[in-house]
Amino acid sequence: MPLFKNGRFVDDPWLFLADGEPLPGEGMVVVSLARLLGSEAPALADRDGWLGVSLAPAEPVEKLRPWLPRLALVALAFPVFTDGRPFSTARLLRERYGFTGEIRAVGQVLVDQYPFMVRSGFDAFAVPRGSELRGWQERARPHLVYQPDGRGEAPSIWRLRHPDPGPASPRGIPRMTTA
Amino acid sequence: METDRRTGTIITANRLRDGRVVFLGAGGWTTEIADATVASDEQERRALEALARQSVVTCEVVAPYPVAVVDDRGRPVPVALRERWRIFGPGPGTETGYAGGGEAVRVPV
Amino acid sequence: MYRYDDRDAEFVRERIARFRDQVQRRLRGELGEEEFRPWRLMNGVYLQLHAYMLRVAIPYGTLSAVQLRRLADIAERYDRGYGHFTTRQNIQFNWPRLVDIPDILEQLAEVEMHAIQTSGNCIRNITCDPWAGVAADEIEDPRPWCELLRQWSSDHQEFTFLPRKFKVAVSGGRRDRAAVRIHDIGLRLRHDDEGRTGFEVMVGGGLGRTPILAKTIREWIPGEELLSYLTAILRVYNRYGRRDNKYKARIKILVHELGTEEFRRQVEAEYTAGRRPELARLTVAEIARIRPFFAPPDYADRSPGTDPCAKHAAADDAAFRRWLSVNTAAHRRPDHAIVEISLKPPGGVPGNMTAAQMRLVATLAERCSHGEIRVTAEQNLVLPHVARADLHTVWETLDTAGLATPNLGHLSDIVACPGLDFCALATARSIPVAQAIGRRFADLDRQYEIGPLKLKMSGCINACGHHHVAHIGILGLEKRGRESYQITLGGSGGDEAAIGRVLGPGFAAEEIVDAVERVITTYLTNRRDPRETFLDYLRRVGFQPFKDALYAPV
Repeated sequence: MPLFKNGRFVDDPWLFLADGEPLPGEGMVVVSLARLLGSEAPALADRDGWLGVSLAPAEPVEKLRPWLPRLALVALAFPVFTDGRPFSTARLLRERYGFTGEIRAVGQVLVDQYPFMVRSGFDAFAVPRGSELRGWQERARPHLVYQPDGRGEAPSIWRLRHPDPGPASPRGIPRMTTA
Repeated sequence: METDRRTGTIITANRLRDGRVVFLGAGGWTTEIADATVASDEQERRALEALARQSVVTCEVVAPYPVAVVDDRGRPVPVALRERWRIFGPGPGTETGYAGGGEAVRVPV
Repeated sequence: MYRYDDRDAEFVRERIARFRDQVQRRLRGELGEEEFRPWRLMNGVYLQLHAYMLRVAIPYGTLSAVQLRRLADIAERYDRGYGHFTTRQNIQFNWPRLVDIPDILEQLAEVEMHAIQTSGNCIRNITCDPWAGVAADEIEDPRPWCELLRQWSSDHQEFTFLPRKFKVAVSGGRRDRAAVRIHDIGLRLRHDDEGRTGFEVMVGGGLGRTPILAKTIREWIPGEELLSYLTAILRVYNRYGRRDNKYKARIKILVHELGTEEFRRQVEAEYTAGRRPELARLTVAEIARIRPFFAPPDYADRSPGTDPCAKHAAADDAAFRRWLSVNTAAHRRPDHAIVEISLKPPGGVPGNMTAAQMRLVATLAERCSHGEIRVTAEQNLVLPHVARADLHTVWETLDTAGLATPNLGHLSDIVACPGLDFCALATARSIPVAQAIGRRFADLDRQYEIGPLKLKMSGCINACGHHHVAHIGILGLEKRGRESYQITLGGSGGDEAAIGRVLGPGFAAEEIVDAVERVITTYLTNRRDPRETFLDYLRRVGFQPFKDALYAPV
């Protein structure tokens, strides 16, 4: 499956392991959440090599928290592209837990969602087989929106309007005065 | 219910470009229900549906589906209330701004 | 009213360019319908019974004369010469072609209008009180906050693929004219003891299959914390709202299933963990930037001694007097009035307006309302800034175009969804029933005798006509291939919000108007005195007298 990262298609060094498949001795592997939290947990923790986990939309990201320092990749599945739960998951990973590894969108991933994904914290995209790759290169661009993302990176209209919005105001917002 | 009226199935869809209601007929998609091909059995219906699916792929229509019809003096008429309004509606007087004077301008479609 | 800066304009232009690209990819087959549909919906494009339908946003119901003229142009050029105002303060066109819609959107963008997120599983148009900024009982104009929320919710990175649609209403008056309790989130603007602006937050209201009134989960949130708090609510909903069943996917179901207390606990926990000072600082700055757009217009002093209306009223102009009494409301300034434009002439289509009427109102607004018009959630329009000295002129002008029926808040001021004449979801026709009821009760003296009465009808269970919150509601269903109209009684949308109750089995199309008449007669015959309104009478005597009148064996 083509992997889109940093604005272009790259090789994918990761191996996505099905639950029944034995753990290879080396290499970068991605396992399911159930497997990560199951009886193999010590083996996974001790194993040499990079470790990733794949999360279904209903699986609570809170369970991943103790593992995050050990993880280099979290893959968030979109069973259908209209399932918006991974956007919340990605934001929690980046903004609440400070995860700095790769957050990859897998499943039904549409290039039109790229701007939403990037601003939520995704940085890699498994483009479904059969999708037009040229479309990704042409269209995978962020676009300007109003509200800031949680990490202070992408420009946003509000930040551009108010580059220095001033100190936090304990005095609140006074009532609107009218003539 | 008139049991001596012949029943069958037609295929309807919306034209992709402009959304208009169309029916699958011998010569392709038509806005005239009188020209719709009426399938009289399962096999014929499936053949029509296959043709309709082709038209989805070629981006001519969107959302085709079968409609049960009865024969009314040689013209197919839908059985379901909703389908009858889909074909014959909107009803008279449901488009103007107000009842008295000042006709709505009807743009040719 | 709000004016775009370069960035607002660029945002809309980019959006249109993306949608134009999506339409072209769709037409070429590079995007299938399933992949295209959510983007189509989020640009306001439905596939309806006969054609595509375009729902154009009228943010918080505020429209300029220039914008109204553009809507008239679009109605004529791309549609059948009319538009339909909805119960969420938007406008709909029934016949646009998909291939033309990017061009239509560009023409709308030229006058700072758009169709962004008027459909789809995202945050929809933020609605509010149509008298915002001018109501005599206003606490504070809620529209700067509506504009803030409009920007915040547009293309939100996290909340654009929610389990279902999401509707927000904001009220800034002492009385709620925004129906906050029937929204997914309802906000009531308040001031604390130090005069700071904040909100009471209500969640989980909605109509449709399972009508529920919203519950307060927070009595007070300071204004600068509003966005962090709403983020918490939306995040809990986005994560835990049901996605397995379209009919159980609104936030009201989540609140109901968790229980209000547990829902509140989850929101508060999320808010505490996730509140962002940057969002607060930006809110303060952006509200300060937006507020001046909503400063009152430069009202000239138009009170030259005697109220000129008195002159006309005394001159035996009964028609003008009636209109003045019924279709105008008190303004913050005693020398001005709020004018209601009735789009419910007897036998007319509720909420419809021809291009000619739109242009007439646009010109009138420029001359007599500082160029501003409002759209209500009951399918009427408002001229918010009319000097009392101009009221007679305004009335005469409206009357020439059939826009002065003095029926606001009375029986023929009917709210009706488009129904089976237009809507792909409908189970019954609603417009002809509304027309028939309007004609049956056209006599104004009779309507005034009946007194204030809200009748609303929906052509299917989705309740877009808001029948659940009408004094007399009508729900059009289908039974064995024929239309069947159910009557509900006792609903109310404002401060004493209540969901109406079904009276009994439905009536056929040819029976429903008589049934409504019997409901009215029951009330008129048995009310204590003319001051006892229909709603008061119903609350006093209950449903039995009405059941007897409609269903007792003859």
